[in-house]
Amino acid sequence: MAQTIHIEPVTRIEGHAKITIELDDAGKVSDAKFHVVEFRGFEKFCEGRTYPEMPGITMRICGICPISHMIASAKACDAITGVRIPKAAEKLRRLINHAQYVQSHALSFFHLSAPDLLLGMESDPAARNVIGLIQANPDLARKAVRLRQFGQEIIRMLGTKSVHPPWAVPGGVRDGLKEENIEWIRKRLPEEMDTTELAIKLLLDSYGGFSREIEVYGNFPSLFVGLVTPEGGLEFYDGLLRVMDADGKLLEKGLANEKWRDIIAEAVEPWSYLKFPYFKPFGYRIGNGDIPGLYRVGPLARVNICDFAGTPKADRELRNFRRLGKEGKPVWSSFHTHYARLIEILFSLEKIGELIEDPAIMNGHLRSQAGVNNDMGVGIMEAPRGTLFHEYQVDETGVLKKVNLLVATGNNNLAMNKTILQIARSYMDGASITEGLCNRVEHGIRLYDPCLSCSTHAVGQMPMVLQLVDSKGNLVDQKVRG
Amino acid sequence: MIVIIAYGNTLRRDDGAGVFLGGMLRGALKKNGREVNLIEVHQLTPELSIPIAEEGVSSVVFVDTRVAEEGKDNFDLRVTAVSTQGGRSGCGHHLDPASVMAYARVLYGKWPPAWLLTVPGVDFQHGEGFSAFTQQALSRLPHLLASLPREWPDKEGPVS
Amino acid sequence: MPVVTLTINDKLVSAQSDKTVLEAARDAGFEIPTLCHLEGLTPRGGCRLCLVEVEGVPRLLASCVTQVQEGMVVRTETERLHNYRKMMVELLLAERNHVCAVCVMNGHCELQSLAAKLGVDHVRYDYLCPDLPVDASHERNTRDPNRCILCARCIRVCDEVEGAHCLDMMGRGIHCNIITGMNQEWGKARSCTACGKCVQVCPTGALFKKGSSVAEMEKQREFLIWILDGRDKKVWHWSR
Repeated sequence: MAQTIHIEPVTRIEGHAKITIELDDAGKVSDAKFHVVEFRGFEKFCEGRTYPEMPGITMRICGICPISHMIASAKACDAITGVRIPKAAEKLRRLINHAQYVQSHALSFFHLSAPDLLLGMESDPAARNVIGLIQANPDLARKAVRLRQFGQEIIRMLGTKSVHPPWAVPGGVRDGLKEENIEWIRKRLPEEMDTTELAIKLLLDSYGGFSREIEVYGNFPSLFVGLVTPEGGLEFYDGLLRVMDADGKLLEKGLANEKWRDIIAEAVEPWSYLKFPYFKPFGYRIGNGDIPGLYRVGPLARVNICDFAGTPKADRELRNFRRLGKEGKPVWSSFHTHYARLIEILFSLEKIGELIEDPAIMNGHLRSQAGVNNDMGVGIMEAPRGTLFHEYQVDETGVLKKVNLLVATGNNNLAMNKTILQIARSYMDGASITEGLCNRVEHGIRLYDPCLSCSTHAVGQMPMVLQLVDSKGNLVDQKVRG
Repeated sequence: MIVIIAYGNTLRRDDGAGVFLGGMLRGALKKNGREVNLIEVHQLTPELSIPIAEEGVSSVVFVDTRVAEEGKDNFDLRVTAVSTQGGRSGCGHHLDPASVMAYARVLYGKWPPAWLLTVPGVDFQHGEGFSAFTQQALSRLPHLLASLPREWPDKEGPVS
Repeated sequence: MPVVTLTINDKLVSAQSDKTVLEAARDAGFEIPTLCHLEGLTPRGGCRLCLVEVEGVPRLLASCVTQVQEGMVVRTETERLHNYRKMMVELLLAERNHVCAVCVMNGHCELQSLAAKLGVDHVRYDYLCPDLPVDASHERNTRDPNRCILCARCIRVCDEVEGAHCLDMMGRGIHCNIITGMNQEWGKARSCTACGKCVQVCPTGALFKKGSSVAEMEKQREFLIWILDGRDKKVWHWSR
């Protein structure tokens, strides 16, 4: 008798994420599906507006990565005008993006994942939470709050002088930095660097206890996609698209952004509103089973595909990271995303240090002026959770005819499904659902730091319902988590 | 000083009702001569524990929209006490009010009484403006405040 | 000019006999909300926000187009007036697509601040959500009918001050709309001098400088008075 187990967080709208684990007649896990109910309404909402409004509109739609949407949108608008933005504006955009990496990755690692890592996956959920963690290590928690605050403060300095204005605009940015801002950043940097290095040490020290997790948390061959600098270095703001296969071979060394559709296509499945992007040359599905075009984006992919980071401390960690790959291949296990994330915080802190010492950042010319010179604009950037694509089509007056957004979470959709399947296969024990399994599935999803709450904030806030349903749809077992 | 933390997305109809209600609550409390610090955010984050832990904070009210389902909800405003013992976080990026309070308690040694005030929501489409259910509930704020003890939110009392 | 005496909100007020009730009330320190009214333009009485009660007159009068009279007894702040004003703003909000959060005028909009002032916390009417295209064909300015409240300030400044009369109004009732150059695309309207006065007097985000991003547009409405009487007052350089 084939059975289906639903792990269903009863949530709002977007982020109405339900996890189904399907069992075959023999009671073995046969498939896992991560259902996301995301309305595509947002793209429609923008059509008919003028393109310069887009950074402001898109950043309001997502509360988690407003900076990413703002930057991707501003870049797509730059492409419509065809101008090169002033040097100082580019540096400032890079600065705010690095600050975003610091605060976003710090939330993911310290506040969301660390309880599992430092307290154990099987521990009582009553204790295995934020409070358990801060009680176990209040000093670390205090440092983590400060690290996040550091990133947030830089964003505040630049981006949010009034309610929610888009700071990045077509052609550049609205405001620059003040001398006292630079002074503040300079003073705080060493402390944040120490916090990050401490976190790396703690993570690596705990690795010994997670050998099984490393084996089964998204440990599979896949393609890796992301941006790199023209020289092949780690890049978050603006670069060339690179695609690497599971053996480390480059399938695309550095593709121009506007050609992204040559390599990425989107499939649709009836059970999810989130699209399933895949590497076009390899195709979506041949019969049943693996999807050859499955790729991953995000910290793991970025750290895998780059030839080097480009800053001393990040490069040192990167060399250590490379040893985790088998036989010189890229690192496959998504569990190592935690490490990749910390390397990226380190890289961002070092880059922030470089940027504030560059006198060019204080140049007052911050905005180029131009009208519509292209009827299409593509803006691709690396959001903390992965590659983000904005593509706009406009008429000759600049009114948007079509808007297409491919968000980072969408890019990781296939990989998340596969990760859940792998975890379920390894930890499903009989036909009942254990706390441990729930924790593990959640942790597996969290590795990708998905932006499920893309629009409403309440995802996961509701109790999670786990259901065991047989092939006839009868409820066999149910578990509610709150 | 009462800290009001109102959160939600004001571009997703009823999801923004919590933010709106936060403003209404501030107005009502100020009228009664109370000092209020209103913080409007998209979601709860750890560093919100810092303003909570400030000197002179007498209580905290989190204001949010809850997903209301027909037959399972009375479609009224609701106040519940928030524990400072910590909550859980799912796979998203938010914290719950209990986690924020836990940060304040453990990191800064402060645990003023905390409440969660919710307004029911049914429409989470893109756009501004609230559904009839939500509007109706919002208009009940004076009734709710009248039903609470005078010292609320600083002092505990029967809550609905 | 003879002077008349009238009572506004129980206060005796004197005013020149050619003044409107709105002017007399504002001179006496009473606030009356307005949207279509702008000093320097012909009064229109279109938005109905400046309605006042006048003793002995059964209906409400728009104070911007009502001349003062000897012995007039006027009330500008009553519950009835407040309710009507609130209703008017709600109807304006329901009629078009005013999404403040992503509007170029967010934070600087007259309609938005008036709604806040009047305590419009929700709209009791169904949103009509009309499908109105944005006209971005002009080289310098954009017209977004979704944010328009049909106050006709743009039409009046274009006609009365610039003398171009490129802007006008077309249709009746719910189909009423602002047009440019006899209902051509703005960019094709040859009567437009691209002076930009219409943009500066528009109370909302319906007319804005091309390329403005969200919450970036701020308008300079006071300049109109300077255009009109700067020479008399010998003010040669206008500044805020």
